[in-house]
Amino acid sequence: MSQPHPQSVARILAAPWHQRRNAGSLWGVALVMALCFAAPVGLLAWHWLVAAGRSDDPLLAGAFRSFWIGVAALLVAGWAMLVGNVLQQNHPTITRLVPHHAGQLRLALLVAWALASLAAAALPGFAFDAPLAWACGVAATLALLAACLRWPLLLLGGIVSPFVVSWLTTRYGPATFIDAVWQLWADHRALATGIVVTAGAAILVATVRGGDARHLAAYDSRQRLRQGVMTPRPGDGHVSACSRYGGIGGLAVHGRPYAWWMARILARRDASVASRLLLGFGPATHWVTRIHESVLFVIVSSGICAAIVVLAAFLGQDLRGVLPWLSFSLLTGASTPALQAAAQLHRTRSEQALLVLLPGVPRGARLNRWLAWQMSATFIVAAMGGFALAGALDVFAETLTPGVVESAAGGMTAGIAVALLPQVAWQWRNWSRLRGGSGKEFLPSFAPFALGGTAMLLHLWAGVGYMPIGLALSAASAGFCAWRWWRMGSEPTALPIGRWA
Amino acid sequence: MRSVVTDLSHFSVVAGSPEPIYRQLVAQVRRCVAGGQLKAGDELPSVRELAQSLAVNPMTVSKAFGLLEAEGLVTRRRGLAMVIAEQHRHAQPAAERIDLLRPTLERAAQEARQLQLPAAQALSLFKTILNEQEGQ
Amino acid sequence: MSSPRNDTPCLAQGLTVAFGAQRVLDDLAWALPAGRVVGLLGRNGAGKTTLIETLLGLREPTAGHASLFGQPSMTLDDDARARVGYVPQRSDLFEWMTADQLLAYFGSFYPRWNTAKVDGLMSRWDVARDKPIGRLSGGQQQRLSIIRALAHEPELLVLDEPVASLDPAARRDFLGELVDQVMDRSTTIVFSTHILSDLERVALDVAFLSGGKIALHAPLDELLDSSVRLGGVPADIRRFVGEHGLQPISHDAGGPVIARGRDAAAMPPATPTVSVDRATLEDLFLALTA
Repeated sequence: MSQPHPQSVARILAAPWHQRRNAGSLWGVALVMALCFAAPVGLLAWHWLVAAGRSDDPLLAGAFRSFWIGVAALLVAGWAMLVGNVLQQNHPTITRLVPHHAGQLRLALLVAWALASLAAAALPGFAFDAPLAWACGVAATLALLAACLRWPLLLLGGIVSPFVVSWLTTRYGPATFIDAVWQLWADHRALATGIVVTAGAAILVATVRGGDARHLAAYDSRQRLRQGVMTPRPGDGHVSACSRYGGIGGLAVHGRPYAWWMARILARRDASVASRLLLGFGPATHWVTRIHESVLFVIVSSGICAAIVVLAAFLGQDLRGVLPWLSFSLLTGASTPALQAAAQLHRTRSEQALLVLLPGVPRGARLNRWLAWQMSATFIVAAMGGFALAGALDVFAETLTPGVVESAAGGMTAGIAVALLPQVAWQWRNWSRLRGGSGKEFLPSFAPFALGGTAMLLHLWAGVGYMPIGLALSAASAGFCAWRWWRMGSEPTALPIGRWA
Repeated sequence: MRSVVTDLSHFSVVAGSPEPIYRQLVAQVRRCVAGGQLKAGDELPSVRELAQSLAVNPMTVSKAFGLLEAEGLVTRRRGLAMVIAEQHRHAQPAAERIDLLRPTLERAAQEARQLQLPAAQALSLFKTILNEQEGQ
Repeated sequence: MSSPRNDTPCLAQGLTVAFGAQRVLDDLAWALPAGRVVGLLGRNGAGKTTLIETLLGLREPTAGHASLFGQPSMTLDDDARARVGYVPQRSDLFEWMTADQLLAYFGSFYPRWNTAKVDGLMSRWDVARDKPIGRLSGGQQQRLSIIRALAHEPELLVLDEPVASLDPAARRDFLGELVDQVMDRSTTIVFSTHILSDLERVALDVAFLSGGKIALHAPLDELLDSSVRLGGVPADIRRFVGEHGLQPISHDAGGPVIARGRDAAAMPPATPTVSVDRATLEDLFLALTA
C-alpha cells in the first residue's frame, strides 16, 4: 500500500454524495433524512400541543427513542450507501490497472469505519455512559453490514436471526438475555474489543476485491441486479437487457416459458398486436415469466413454512409467532412490480424505439392507456396473489395457534394490505417523461410502508377502522387513475420510455 | 470477332481522392481505349455488374457511361451491353496518348517542387519505377 | 407493389430540439428527394442521431415539424410505417432472442416480408441463427440489424452509422447490398457515417449537419467538381476569389480556404501566388462542420 493520500481517501468517501449530486437526486436523499426524523419531530409537536410542560409524558420518551432510532437508521443507510459505492468503484479492470487502487479503497473504508465508531463512542456512548461498549457495538454492526453487502448470502442469516433471537428470548427471557450479554462484555472488555477491531478490519479489507477473474463476473452480475431494480444512472455502464438470471451460472431457466409462449404466439396467424407487443419488452417483464417465478416462489415459501412448522414442533411452540411475519413479508414482496416497473421498462428503451415503428402498433392515447392497463393488471394480479398467500398463511398460523396473528404482527399486515392496492396509481404516471436515475424512484418503494404506517397510526390512535381507510384510499386511487386516463388523451406517446426527458 | 469484356479488373476506383468517382471511371476507359487494351466491339460490363463489383452507386456508373457515350468512346446498343465505338480499332498514336498522362505528371511535378527536388532526381526516379514495372 | 409516392419521403420544417438550455437542432429545414441516396455528415455530438430520431418520430421536437411520406412523424399510420426501415446505432437490441426468433417476430408485423432475401443474406453473411443475439459478435449483430431493416422492402431506409463495427470486407458487402436496393426499387436511403470513403462510393447527395442546421445539401459529384482548395497569402486569396467569382465555404481562419465555383467543370487556373487544388470530401467535411 502506498503512502496514504488524504485527498484521495476523502474523494473516495465523498463519491456517493457527488454521484447523487450529478444525477440530480439529492432531494431523494433529503427525503429519506426527513422521513427518518419525521417521527420524533411529529411526537414532539404532539407533545407540545397536548401536554406542554409535562416532562414525564410518554410522548417525550417516544420522541427521544424514535430520534435515536432515526439516527441509527441514517447511520445504517449512509454506511450501506458508502459500502455499495466503494464496491462499485472497485471495478475489476481499474483495480488491476491502477496501482494501489484496492489499497486506497480499503483505507477509505477503514477510515470511515473508525470515524463512525468514534462518533458512536462520543455521542450515545457518553450519553449512556458506556463509550467503549457503544463503539464496539457500532463497529461490529457496521462490519457485519459491510459483509452482508459484499456476500449477499449472509443476508440469509439475517432472515434466520429473528427466529434465533425470538427463540433465545423466549427460552431465557429477554431480561436475563441482555444481562448475560452485558456481563460477558464487562468481564472480557479488552478481549472483546480486540476481537471486534481485528475481525472488523479483516472483513472490511476482504470486502474490496483484488481484480481477479471471478471479480469480473461478480461485478457484472451485481450491475445487472442493480439495474433490474433501479433505473440506470448517468455513468452506469451499459448492461444488457438480458434475463437477470443469465449471469448466475447461465441459468436461462426462466427464459424458457417466455420462448415457449413466443413460439406459440408467432405460430398463430391471428395473434393480437398487444400480445406480440408485450413479447418485445423482454422476458423479465412478461407475465408468463412472472407466473413461472411466482410458482417457484410459492414452492420455496411452502418449503420454508413446512420447515418452520417442523422446527416449531421440535423445539416448542415459540417459533410459530414467525409465521405472521412471513405473511407480512409476502405481502410487501407483492409490491415489487410497482418498484421495478420503471427500471425494467427503462432497460428496453432502445427496443421500444423499434417496436413503435412497427405497423399495427398503437400510438398516442391508445398506447398510453394500453400500457397503463397492462402494468396495472400485472400489479393487481401480483397483489391479489400476495393477499391469497398471506391470507392462507395467516389462517394456517391461526389454526396452529389461535390468536398468534394479532399478537405477533399486530396490525401491520392489515395496514399494508390496506395500502397495497392503491399503489396501482404508480402505473398511471406519464411514462414519456420518466427520467432515469432521479431520486423519485425511491417513492414507489416507500409509499406502501408510508401509507400503511399512517393507516396503522390512524387505527391505533384515532380508532378509525381499517375498512373505511381502505375504501378511502382505494377511492382516491381510482379517482387518480380515472383522471390520468382522461389526461392520456392529450399526452405524447409513452414509448419509448422517457422520450421527452 | 467480338471479345466480351467481363474482366472487371480494368476498373477500380479510389474513394477519398479529389477526383469524383465517375471521372475516375471515364478516365480509366479513356486510357484503356487509347492504349489499345479495349478495342472496337469490346463489350463493357453492365451498369449493375460494375456497380456491384465496385460497391458504387449505379447512377454514378451510368453517369460515367453517359459521358463516355457523349465523347464518342462507346456506343449504346438497344437491349445489349455497351460496346467500344467502331472508330477505335487501333490504339491511338503515342502523341495523343502521352497527353493523357499529363494530369498525373503535373501532379507529380508539383509535389517534386514542394519537396524541393531537382528535376534530374525526379526524372531518374520515374525511370527507375518504369523499369521496375516493366520487369513485373 | 406500387403505391403513390408523390409525397416527399422525409421533410423537416423549423425543427428545434433543445436539451435544457442547449439547442442540438436549431430551426432545421430539410427535404429529402425521393429515390436518392443521401449521406448525413457531421461531427461527433453534432446531433445526427437526434435528427434521425426526431425525423422518425422517436423523439419529441421542442418546436417545428417532421413528416414522413406526407404524414406527421408522431402519428404515422400503418401504411407509412410499413414503408420505413430503420437501423439504429446500437445493434445489440433484443439480445434475449435468437436471430430466427427476431426475424419471425418482426416478420409477423409487416405485410411484406421477403423470406427468400432474408435467408439468402443470412447465409451469405454467415449470421448464426440459433444463438441469442447477445452472444453474437458486434459485426454479426450489426449485419442482423441490417437484414431486419431490409427484409420488409422499405421505400425509405434510415441508417444510423450502420457499418461502424464491420470490417472492410463486410462493409464492401453491405454497400454492394445497398446498391442492389437502389437498383431494384429506387429506395430513398439516408445514412449517417464517419467513413467518408463509403459515402463517396454510394451516396448521390451529401448533407452536412453543423450548428444545429443542415449547412449544405448538394449532389456529391457536383460538390466535388466545383470545390477547390486555395493556398497562399490571405490577401492574394481574397483577390483571387473575387476575380473568379468563387464562394468561400470554410470559416476557419487557420485552415486552407475552400471555395466553390459556379461552373462545375472548369477549375480556375493557379497563379504564381495562389495554388489551386481540387477539394476532397474530407476538406469539405472539415470546412463545413466547423
